[in-house]
Amino acid sequence: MEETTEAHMISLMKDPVSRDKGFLQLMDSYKEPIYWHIRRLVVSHEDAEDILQETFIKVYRFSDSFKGESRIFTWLYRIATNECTKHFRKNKRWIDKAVKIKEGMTGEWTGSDSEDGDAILVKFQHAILQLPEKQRIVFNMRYYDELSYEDIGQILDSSVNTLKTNYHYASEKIKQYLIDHA
Amino acid sequence: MNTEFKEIGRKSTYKVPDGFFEKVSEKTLLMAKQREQNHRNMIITLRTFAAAASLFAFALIGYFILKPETKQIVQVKQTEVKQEIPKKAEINEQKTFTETTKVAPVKTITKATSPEELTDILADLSDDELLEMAAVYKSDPFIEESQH
Repeated sequence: MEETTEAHMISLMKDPVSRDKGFLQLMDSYKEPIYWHIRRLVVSHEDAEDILQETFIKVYRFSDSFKGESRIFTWLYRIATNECTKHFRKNKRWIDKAVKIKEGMTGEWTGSDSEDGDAILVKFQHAILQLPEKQRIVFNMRYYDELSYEDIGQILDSSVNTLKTNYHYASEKIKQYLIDHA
Repeated sequence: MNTEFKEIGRKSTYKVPDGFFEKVSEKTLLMAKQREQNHRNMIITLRTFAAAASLFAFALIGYFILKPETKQIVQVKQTEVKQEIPKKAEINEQKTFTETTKVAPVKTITKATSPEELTDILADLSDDELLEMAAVYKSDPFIEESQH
């Protein structure tokens, strides 16, 4: 997304007359990447929908406080990631729910042509779910969203070196999981 | 670009209900507006509550400021009364004392019948009292008349 478009959407949102229009433009531009970021972290669609809405409600409410020091997508990722972290703290047993959903998915694919490919995909995502919270977030942002370490650093308030270490450990653990469950 | 796990790829295994992305923006906007309205209402309620609470606090402070003063007044009045009561008692005691000292000799003289009793009473009297009695005796015309 171009910075001029981002700035335009923010200026629309800061004007009470065009606030709703600016909000809808912003949400239409970012709802899908933010939804998938959330969904990969919480697994359940219902939870992802709630967190996505909560994220954009916060954006609507606090749009005046956005000073433009960072890019708008890093701000959105930051709010969404914080909401996910809050969700993990509130629902201690969310991981059990996520694993059940994953097992349900494996059942759905049995007998399909792409059984082998999907099975390894499910195993891979199982492996990601076993990671510690920080490593899981960093791995998802880097692997799936293809964000740079600098952007992830802005989102998570971490140094690039720490993030590289987190990603490295996450990759090693996933590889080991795939070997163990081959 | 990250080249690890190339054979797995970035394909997602998750499914999204049909039409979810089309509806979610409008739905979220409505929720955001509703939330903002609720927030405003809550602020109004909180401000009203705060105003009521501060009024109550003022009233309470006023009550506690005034209450000790009334207590002090009562205490002062009570101490005054207490101080007055002993004075009255003292006065009564003093009065009774003076009455007894003045009246007793007269009563004893009037009631005395035998000469021994009269000499005992006179022996108890001081010189001043005897002089006083003598003066009364001389000045009182009825005493002489009654003796005659």
